[in-house]
This record gives sequence, C-alpha cells and structure tokens, in this order.
Amino acid sequence: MKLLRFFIKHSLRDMWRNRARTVFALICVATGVTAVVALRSMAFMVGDELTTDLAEMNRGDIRLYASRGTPEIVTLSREGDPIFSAEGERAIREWAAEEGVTFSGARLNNISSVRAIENGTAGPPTLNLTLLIEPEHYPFYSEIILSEPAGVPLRDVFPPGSEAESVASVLLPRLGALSSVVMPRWNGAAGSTWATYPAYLIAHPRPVVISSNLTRQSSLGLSLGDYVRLGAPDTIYEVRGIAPATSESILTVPPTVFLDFLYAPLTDLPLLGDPVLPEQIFIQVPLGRDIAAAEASLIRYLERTFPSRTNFDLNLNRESVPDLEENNDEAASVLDDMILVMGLSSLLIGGIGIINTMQVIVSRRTLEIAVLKTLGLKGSRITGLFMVEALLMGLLGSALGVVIGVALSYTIKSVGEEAFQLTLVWRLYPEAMLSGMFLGVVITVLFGFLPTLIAGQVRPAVVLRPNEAQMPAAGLLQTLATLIVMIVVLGLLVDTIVEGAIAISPVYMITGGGALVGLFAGVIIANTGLGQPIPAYYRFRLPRRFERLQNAITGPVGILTGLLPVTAWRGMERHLRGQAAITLGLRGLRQLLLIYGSLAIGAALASLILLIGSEVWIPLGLGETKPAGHIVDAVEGGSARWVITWAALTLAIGLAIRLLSRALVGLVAMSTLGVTVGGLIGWLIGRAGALVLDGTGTWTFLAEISTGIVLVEAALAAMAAVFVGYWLLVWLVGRMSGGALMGLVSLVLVGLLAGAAQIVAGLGVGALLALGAVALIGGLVIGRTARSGEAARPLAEQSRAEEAGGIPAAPTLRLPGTSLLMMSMAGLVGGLLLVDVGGERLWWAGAGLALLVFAGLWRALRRRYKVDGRLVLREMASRRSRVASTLLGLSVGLAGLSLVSLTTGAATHLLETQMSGRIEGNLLVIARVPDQVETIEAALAGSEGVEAYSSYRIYSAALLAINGETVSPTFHSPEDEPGGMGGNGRATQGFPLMLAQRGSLADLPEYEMSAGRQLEPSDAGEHVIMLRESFITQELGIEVGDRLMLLFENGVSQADDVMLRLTVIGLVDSQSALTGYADQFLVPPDTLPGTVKPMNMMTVARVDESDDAYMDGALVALSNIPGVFAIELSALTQLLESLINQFKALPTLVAWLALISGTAIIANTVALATQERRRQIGVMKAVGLKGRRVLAMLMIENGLIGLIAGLIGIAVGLLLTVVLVLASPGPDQLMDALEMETMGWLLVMSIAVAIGAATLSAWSAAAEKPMNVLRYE
Amino acid sequence: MQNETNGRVVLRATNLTKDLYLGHVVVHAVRGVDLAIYENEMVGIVGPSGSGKSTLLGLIGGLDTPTEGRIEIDGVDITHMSEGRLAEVRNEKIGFVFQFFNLVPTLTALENVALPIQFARYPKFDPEQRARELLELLGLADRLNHRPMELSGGQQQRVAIARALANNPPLLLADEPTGNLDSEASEVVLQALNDVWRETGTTVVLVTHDLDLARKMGRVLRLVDGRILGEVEPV
Ligand SMILES: Nc1ncnc2c1ncn2[C@@H]1O[C@H](COP(=O)(O)OP(=O)(O)O)[C@@H](O)[C@H]1O
Ligand SMILES: [Mg+2]
Repeated sequence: MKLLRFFIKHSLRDMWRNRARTVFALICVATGVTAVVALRSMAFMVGDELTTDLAEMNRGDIRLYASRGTPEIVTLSREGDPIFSAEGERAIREWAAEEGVTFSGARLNNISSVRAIENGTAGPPTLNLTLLIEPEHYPFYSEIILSEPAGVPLRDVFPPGSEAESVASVLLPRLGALSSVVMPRWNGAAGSTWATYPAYLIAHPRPVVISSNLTRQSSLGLSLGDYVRLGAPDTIYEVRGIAPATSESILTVPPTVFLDFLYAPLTDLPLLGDPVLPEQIFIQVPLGRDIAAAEASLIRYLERTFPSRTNFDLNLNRESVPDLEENNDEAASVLDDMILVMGLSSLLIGGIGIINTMQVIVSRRTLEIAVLKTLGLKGSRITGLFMVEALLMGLLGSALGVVIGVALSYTIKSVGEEAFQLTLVWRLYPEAMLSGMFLGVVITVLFGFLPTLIAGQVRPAVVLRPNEAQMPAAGLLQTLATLIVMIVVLGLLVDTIVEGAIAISPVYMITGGGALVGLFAGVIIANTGLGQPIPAYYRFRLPRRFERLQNAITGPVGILTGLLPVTAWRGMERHLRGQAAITLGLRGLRQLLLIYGSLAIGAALASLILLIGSEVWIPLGLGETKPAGHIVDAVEGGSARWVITWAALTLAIGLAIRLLSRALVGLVAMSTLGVTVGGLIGWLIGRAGALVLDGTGTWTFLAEISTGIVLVEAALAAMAAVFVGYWLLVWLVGRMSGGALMGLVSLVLVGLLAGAAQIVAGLGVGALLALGAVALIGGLVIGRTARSGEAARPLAEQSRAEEAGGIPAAPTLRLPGTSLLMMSMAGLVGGLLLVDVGGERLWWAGAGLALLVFAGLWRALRRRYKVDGRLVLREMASRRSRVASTLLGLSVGLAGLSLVSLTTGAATHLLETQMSGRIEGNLLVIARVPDQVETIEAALAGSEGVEAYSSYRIYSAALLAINGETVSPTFHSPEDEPGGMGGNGRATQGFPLMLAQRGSLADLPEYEMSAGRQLEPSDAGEHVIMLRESFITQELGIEVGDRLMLLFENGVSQADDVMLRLTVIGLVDSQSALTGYADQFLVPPDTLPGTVKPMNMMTVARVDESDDAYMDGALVALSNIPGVFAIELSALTQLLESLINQFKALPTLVAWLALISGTAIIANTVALATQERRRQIGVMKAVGLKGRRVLAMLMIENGLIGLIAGLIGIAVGLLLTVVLVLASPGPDQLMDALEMETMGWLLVMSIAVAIGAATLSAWSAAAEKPMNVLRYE
Repeated sequence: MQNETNGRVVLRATNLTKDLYLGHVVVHAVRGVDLAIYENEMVGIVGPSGSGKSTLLGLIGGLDTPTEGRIEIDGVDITHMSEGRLAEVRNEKIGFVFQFFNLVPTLTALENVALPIQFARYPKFDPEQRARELLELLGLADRLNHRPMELSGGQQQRVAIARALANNPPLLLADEPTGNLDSEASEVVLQALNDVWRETGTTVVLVTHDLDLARKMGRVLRLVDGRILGEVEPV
C-alpha cells in the first residue's frame, strides 16, 4: 500500500514535470476514447429508436404485406403491384371480427405526382408518396399530430368514413365522364381559370394532409388551404393539414426516406384509378392478448378459408411486434458491434501514441532507473512504477475522452440521423461511457506494458556511462509474453463482439501464434546478429585476392565464392582451418539469408506491380485481355510471358535491394523466415493438438477463444506488414539527399502557391493581376532592402576570412525567403495569366514558366537549406520505427477519408454521366402497363420541345443455361421486402438479369462492337440478343453465337413461367460510348411473346433544355396519364446523390475521428521528439541556428510525414476508386471520375495537419534559450 | 605573452548580473561581473563548482540574456539583441566548446564541423573544404566520416573544437572542455586548443574548476560566488 502510494506520487510528479508530453499522451488516449464513446452513444441512440415503441413503429401489432407468395388472397393493382384481393381482405376482416382485434388497411406505396394550383393553373408536377390510410385507425398506438393546424390529430382532418365514401361514390362517375373533356384544357396551362374546371370538383375539394417537407418544395410552395391536383385522372384536393416530416420514417414507411409524403383517405383510391384494396393491413390486438397466438390464429383461419398448397405460415409476408423486437434487437447489436470495432480501431491508433510516450518516458529516465537499481530496487518493481504511470495516464486520458465523447455524441447526432434517416433522441448512455473508460484504460495499459518491461531491463551499469544513455531492448521472452497477453486480452474482447457469428479453429490460432513468435525471433535475431558483423572470434581474413573477389561478386554468386578456394585451404596452417571453415559457413549462411530476404521483398514488390499492371492493362490500351492478377493465376493460366516478367522483376528488384543495404534486408529476411518457420511449427503443433485433444475440455475451451484471437492475430499481422512497409519507406526516404528534400519542399510550395493562384484566378483576371503585381513588387522591395544591407557586410567579413587562410565562397544572390516566395507567386501568376489569355496554345508556355519557378525555387532552397534537409532526413532515419508508427497512425485516417470521398465522388460522377450524357434523353417515363406506351408516346409527341424518344420494355429474367450448360445461381434474391415490391417468394434459379426490348430499332445508336454485329431493324421478332461486354459477360464467358436459355417468371405460379432461347448476335464493346439506355441485354422488338409480362415500360425522351417550359410541359402532359410517372433525370440524379451522401455520412465521420487520432499522434510524436532533441536543438542554436529555422526544420520533417501519409492515404482511396470505376459500366470515364481537386485538398490537409500538430508542440522548443537546455546534464 | 594594454577589446562585460529562479527561490548565479578580454588573449576563468562559471560563459556567448549589465562582443552590444540576431552573432563571432562535446549524433565529424558555415547567413568558406582543413589541423584527417558515437571522447572534443573554429570567430569559449576526459585525452585537447590559439590568433576563454589547468592560460581570473575576485598568477 505504501509502495503504491509512493508509485502514484512519483508518477504524478513525473507527469506534472513533463506537462507538455503528458498532455499530448492524454490527448492520444482521449481521442480514441472519444471515438468509442461518441460512436457507441450514437449506436445506442439508433438502437433505442429501433427497439422502443415497436408497436408504434409497426403501426400495429401485426402488419401484413400483400405479396405474390400468397396468390389466394392477393391480386395485382393497376400498376402491377400485389395488393390484397377483395376475397383476401374480406377474409382477414372476418377473422379480425371473429378474433376481436382491430383491422386497418392502407396503401403506402402509391407514387403519384402533385401539382399546386394557383389561380386555376396547375404548376409542374412533383413526385410524392401518397399514403392512403384509414384515418380513424392510422396509426395504431400513436397519433399523428399536425403542425398546422397545430395540435390537431390527423384523423380529425378527414370526414368520417361513411361520408368520405359517399363523396367518392358521387364524384367518381362524374369524374370518369368529365376527365376526357377537362384534361386537354388543363394541359394548356396558360390562361386556365377556375371557370374551366367542373364546378362540382371545385365545390368539393378532397381533403389532404401534406408533409412539412412538401411545403418547402419551391415548385409547390404549398400552405394550408391551397389547392393541389393529385394523381391522374386528377382530382382537386385542398391542403387541410400539414404533418411534421418526422411523422413517418424509414422504420414506419421506408420509401419516405426518398420521397415526400402526403396523407389521403384509402377510400379515395378510386379517384386515383384503383379499387379500394389495401396493400398493407395493420392489426391491433387488444392489450393483454398474446400477439403470437393471434398471428397463429390468422394463419389457421386463412388456411381453412383457402385450402390450397400455399403455406401461409411461410409465405404470408408479415411483421409482428415480437418478430420486430427480435430483428431490431439483433440489428441494434450488430450496429453496436460494428461501431464498437470502428471506435476500437481509433483507440488502437491512439495506442501507438502510448507506446511512443512510454518509450520516451523510459528512455529519458534510464539513468534514474539505473540509479534506483543500484540502490537495490528490483526490475519488477520498476516495471510496476511505470505501469502505475501508464495506468494513471489511461485513467486521466479516458476520463477526458469520456467527457469529450459525450459532448461529441450530442453533436454527431445529426450524422446518425442523416446516415440512418431516423430522428434520434440524445441522452447519456452510461454503458457507452463505461466501455470507453474501460477500453481506454485497458488499451493504455496493454500498449504501455512493453516499454515498461524495457524499463525493468535497464542494467545498473548504465550509471557508469551516463552520457550514452541507451535504451536496452526488451528480452525476447518478455516481449513475447507481453504480446501473448495483449493478443489474448484483445482476442477475448473481440470474441465478445463476434459472439459466435464466425468460428475459426484453434489450429489457426496456434499457427498464427507460431508465426508471430517466429516473426519476433526473426526480428530480434536480425537486430542482434545479422545486422552486426560476424563475432570477432570467428572473423578470419581470407587471403586478399579472394576477399576482393568475394566483395566484388555480391548476390547469388557470393555464396559460391564463400566456399574456400582449395588452394587457400592447402596453404593454410592447420589450426586456422577450423576458424576459416566456421567463418565461411557463417558468411555463406548470411549470404543465403540476405538473398532470401531481398528476393522476398522483390517478390512482394513484383507481385504488387503485377497486380496493379493487370488492373490498368486494358484501360491503358496495352492489350485486349486482362492479364493474370497474381502469380498463382499466371502459373495456372500457363502464361509464360507473365511468369517470366514476374521472375525477372523479382530478381531485378531483389538484387537491387540486396546491393543497397545489408541490415535492412537482414531484417526482412529474418522476419519472413521466422514467420514461415514459426507458422509451420505452429501449424504442426495445432494439428497435433487437434488430434490429441479433440473432444476434450481443453480443446473446447481453445475453440471458444480461438476466433477472437485469430482475428486479433490477423489484424496485428496486417498492421505489422503495413508497419514494415512504412519502415522501409522511411528508410528509403532517409537516403534521399538534403537537396532532393528541398526539391520536394519546393514542389509542394509551388503546388500550394499555384493552388492559391488558381483560387484567386476564380475571382477573375483582375484579382489575379493584382495578386501578381503585389507579389512581384513586394518580392522586389524586400529583396532590394535585404541586398542593400548585405552590400556593406561582406567586405569586412571577406578580409577576415582571407586573413584566416579561408577561401571565400563564391558570392551568391541571396534573397530572403519571403521575397523568394513572392517572386515565385508572381511567376506562377504570370504563367496562369499566360494560359488564361492565350488559352490552349500557351498551355506549354505556362507550364514551362511554372517549371522555371520550381527550378529557381529549388536552386535557391537547395543552396541555402541543404543542411537543414540533411539534418531532417538523418533525424528521420535514426527514428525509423517511431516515424513509421506515426505514419501508420496518420495514414489510416487519411486513407479512410480519401476512400470515402474519392469513391463517392467517382460514383457521383459516374451517375451523372450515366444519367445525362449516356442516356438518350433527359426525361424518364416509367409505366407499369404495356398499353400505356402509346399514350405516353402520344403525350410526348404532342408536347413542345420533345426532340426524340424511344421506348423499352424491361423484363426481369434468369439466365438458366448457355449452350445447354447450366448456369449456377450466384445471387439469391432476398425475401419479399416490406412494402411488397419484391419478387414472388420462389427460390431463384439461374443468373438474374434485366433485359430490355427496344420499341424500335430504327433509331438505335451506332455502337462500337467488339464482336458480331449490331441489331438491325430486320431483326424484329427474331430470337436474337445483343449484349454489352461487362464483368457479367466475362464471368459467364458469353460469346457471339452462344445460345442463352432465359426464364421469365411471369406470374405467381410456376405454370406461368416462359422459357426462351436467344442467340447472341453481337457484343458491344464495353468502352463504346453509351448512348442507348438499358443496352446491357437488348433484344429487338416483338421478340418476347405477349405472354411475358414486362416489369415495366420505360420511355426515354430528349427534351430541349433551352427553356424550362418545355420540360414542364412534357411533365404536365405525362402526369395526366394514370399510373405513369415521369421524372426528370436531373431529379433522379439528385435523389441518388442524396442517397450517396447519406451512405457516406457514417464512414466519413469515422474517418474524421481516425484522422483526429492520427493528428494527436503526430503532436505527441513531435512533442516527444523535441523533448528528446532539446539538447541537440540547443547545440545547433549555440552554433548559430535561428529558432525560426529550427521550427522550419521540424515543420519540414513533419510536413514530409504528412506528405507521405497523404500520398499513401490517397493512393489507397485512388486504387479502390480505379478498381470501382473500371468495374463500372463506364470504365472510359476513369480520368474524369477521379477528383483531382479532392485529392489536392486531401494532400494539403494531410500536410497541414502534420505541420499544424508539429508546430503546436515544437513552438516552445524552438524558441527556448539555448542556455536553458545546455545548462544541466 | 600578450599585450594587455594595446590589444583590441574583443569582449567587454559591465556589471553583468544573472538571477535564476528555482521555483520561488532566487539564485544569484552571477553578481555584477566586470570583464575585458583582449584580442589574441588566452584567459582562464577558475572557480569552484557552482560558482557561476557556466552561467557567466553562457551570458558572454549570447546563449542567455543577463538580468542586468551589458555585454559587447567585437564592439557590438549584444545585450538587447533579438534572439535571431543573437544567433547570427553566435554563428559569426563565437565558438563554443562544451564539457559534453555536444556534437550532433546523426552527422559525421565533417558534417558537424561544416554545420556552422552552412548555418551562416553569408558563408565565408566552402563548408566541406574548411571542415576538412580544420579536422586535419586537429589531427583527425582519418576520422572525417565517422559519427560521434564512433569516436573517443578526446576525438569528439577535438571535433567540437574544429566546429567552434568553423567560421573563424574572434572568440572561442570553452566550458570545462577536459572535464569529461581522462588525463591523456585532456592533454591532447589542451594541446589542440593551444595550437589553435597560436595558429589562428583567436581569443580563447577557458572555464574550469581546475586551478592547475587554469594556470596554463595567459591570464587567470578567479570567480567565486558569481563575483570576480581578482587574478591568479599564471605559471
Ligand atoms: N536552471 C537553473 N535554475 C536555477 N539555478 C541554477 C540553474 N542552473 C544553475 N543554477 C545555479 O546557478 C549557480 C551557478 O551554476 P553554474 O553556472 O552551472 O556553476 P558552475 O558552472 O560554476 O559549476 C549554481 O548555484 C546553480 O545551483
Ligand atoms: Mg559548469
């Protein structure tokens, strides 16, 4: 107890003394904990929303959906969607009466158009979701309270059922008669007045309640009392109420996520052209009655009423509160787990900061430890002392993190709302807070443990040579023990998250363990043995000429020359022969290992090059077919050229690396070897264990914990691999010359200046001119004043130098930095102006000028700051591990961010081009009934500004066989989705695809064919098909001439299926400009028999965009056709874009959190580095380095880290985006889809973050008086 | 040995005072020192440990600013100079040699010596050539590309001396340069300092607690409790 008090006091004092360091370490822990607490709180908020008020969410205790799986009680609506049939509805109603439960029906999938009426003129239509409900019941278990008139419940707006029905019944017959008369006049929108509309409709507008979002639609501008036209044949409605947009959500009516909604009574369906039949039925079971029992009773009732083969229990699509509870609980816990993993990753990044901090704490206090040891303190006690400090930091940091996390959870609520489309309620979640606290402390202690162990290892002898305070390496055993403890603890943690979702055999756990042990052994041996010269005892000098020979021939031949030449052996004294043999053996072994290592690196890099090469092969036009992505493929595919390329690359890279450095290759060699050998041994042990222990309690126990542990091992291995990669990179960068670094700096500077100039250029040429002028004049003035001061000096200096026998350096033009930057800016502005004025022709001149500016800047910087560059690089190289881990931390966040932003950016771009340029038109008309196509075409033909249109029938089909060979089903369609839009509930066979039958081939665009020919008008009615090449056709291996067997599932039963055999007549090149719509699988007109029902009818029209009135006119004309909806492509694009934004909200948040963690690590690393380097900085200042320049050096150093992390992060995002775009239908869009600007910003941000974080902690160190640092020690 | 009266004053300190703060305790490390050091002089400052020698040297060398008093180096008043200008003065006018060598560990001997030249605003020499010459002068011709870790203490200190001389400063300040060396290495370092003094004509101020060592200088000042108590007769 007393000891603990001493430990705590000691630790607190140490933390207080090194406040800056402590603060940054705490921030490292806190950012991770913040991420865990905030993200988890959000998950809990979502979970709360998912799991409370389920009956309200379900809009009843049992919710039935009409689906094709139960044909007895289902029919199809006019649009072809399943709805409950009259018999079905009646049966369920009867059951409800018998059972004593309440029944309510609704149509919640009716998409129609709404138009505001102003002075009798209807505006352009807007799509909306018309929710047709029974107002007296909807919704069960809650009440929708209108925002206008405030406080009024939804049901009060609508007249009671009987009245409504009577109005409808009176209205309907008249409407049918009138619509043909009225509509044409309505279409000529201009000049319409109320008088042109039948008096009866005006006198009896139907009530409607709109969602508050609809009031915000600018094209509508609705408010209470306004008249609107709804659907077709249209009816006049009056807005009687405005419901909050939050009345419905993704949980109650999913489509409300995309569409604004309005409420109308179910009984109005006839006005919209459909019978009063529900698509969903809500059942309210009286309180206290068992819902499941009611459900079972319903099934029994249905089975009794409709004796058939249909299994109602299986096929009746329904959601009851108990089911929902189970499902949502599961969804909530999956979400929580997912989010916990995300938060945990953030925390692990923070762990890097802890390792670094503890390491520095220990190394700074080696002397103190040694002194304590000489006084008799045991190693374990010292470990304890430092553990207490780590624990304290964990506690404090976590507490800080919890506080910030709770605050953050409140702010990111909106992100959760965006991502999940829910209205979330914020509150404190103790579980989130506790778990954050717990994880924070655990991770800190775990990560702090290894350096602490090292502290225990300090040898007392250090006291004797205090000046070379070197950090000892932790013993192999201790390190391993720590690692194993860490893996087990983290593994158990992961196990609780995975919870048996997957199970991995203990054999893998042991194999992984063996590999890790091997890795460590390898690294340690490399660090101690391979890196060092051969022990002196064994050192034996070969006769000179052999020595030279061996040195000359490094690489593979080196081993052979390592064999002692016979002549030398003969002439050797006896007692020397033994030594010589051992020396040579060791040399040979080392050579072998080094070659193994270099070839391992070579093979890895060669594989990477191969992989990237194969991905860009076709897009770059290097060949027709995609080469093998990896060597196994190449070997299996027997592509000799590719295998040879790989081998040659491996050899070339391997040898190059071998010649570059020995210690480095040794590390890789030994670690690879260690992993291989260790893994193999582990695997053998595992296998043996499985044989011996299978069935015993031990094995069961191992099996229970193995999954999490294997996952942790895999994660650690991945991290280690990345770390090694970074380590190598830092090593490589460290070998750069100081001048080259200055080149990099000038490049970045020119980039930044050019970017700034670009931004100013956006303001106009005048602003650019002004900027250029200011920069030029400023640069000249500053340069001149500086030089006039310089003129007086050198004379005196020079004479002194000559006096001293020194040779004066050649006089150089030395402009101060600000002047240099300003001149560069002026030059770049000049270049921009040149391009701006001269256009494309002067592009080269502008680029040349930029290059000139770059060269000038580089020259000046190199001349003056080469030393700084060298110091920076040496410093980085001497701290490879720390720099590598910092890079790791920073790049994770950036990779995430670039991944999200680049992929979504590319997706948006692809979407836009797909939607605009590539489709034949800008207006999409979708109908469900084939007969409507003519009406649609007539409406389009009659509309002004419609330039062209073409129609398709879209069919859903399954590809069963190619040339008689069965295609195995790849995807299974999910069960009928709530909302009833899904398939028919039968098991899917074959490969599902969408087929389009074009209405006419006369206007088919000219395609670039890769094989076969394009469809021609004469093909009409022939059983042929044209395909666009894609990954699908590649996967399936479809070629011209193949016969495809297609299955069309036509109705609800198998009897309705239609099979068709089509011959492939042509393959469209995947690169061919996409000008047609739906041309993935295209068949000529009249090919499919009339018995095959199309999914829908698609008409694509091109409308003149020069005047908005054209599009509005077309939309209005189309909105009058019942059951058809027309949508402007731009509106659809917007909708999809908002979907993309919603999709990326959460990943973006997580990436930002990771980036913040990375920033904390950088700040921490720099704080540590400056602390370690205080003395060195003091020395350099003593010999004349200015504080400003010290700061600049630290900034360059970390800017470089930021640059590398940024480049790598961006590369990750870029790679995925490239793959994504290449796999998309528009691979030729690659260059346009890559957002250069986003990449630029990411890079700038990465550099800025690194420099900012560095400045934060380096500022005071750079400004310190040298005496303060040099005084002590 | 030197001309006290006719020489140019390289360094003049007037009423130099430095108070240091240890928490709430004020330590008067240097208390009103008046000092004049002439061109081409070799001066020793001797005093017991804790008497304020290092503090005084730091003030003289512009590593720290005095609480009170005035310092002139080569005729330039550095008392109220900005930190940036001070750095230039240190670079051009002063060479430092410390007890613990204080070489930059990641740089080779040659690069360490070249450092001050490269830091200079207006380099007077070609860095590499000058560094090579100086290291040769100090007998380290075969250690040019070694890092400090690969050098012995005496060798490190000679590299430090070469570095101090890099910009041919008028004033070389050495704080216990032999304090961390065995007697043999001390002898070599001292000899090196002597050679340097003789050949370059740089003024040398050497601080030590060792009276015997101090006596080898041309003039010896005694510092006790932050005050100059007078001169000691050289041998
Ligand atoms: N950073 C500091 N803060 C407070 N007092 C200090 C500091 N450094 C040294 N001192 C005190 O200043 C006095 C002079 O120190 P110093 O100049 O190092 O002496 P010397 O070099 O002669 O041994 C000593 O009393 C010492 O305790
Ligand atoms: Mg001292």
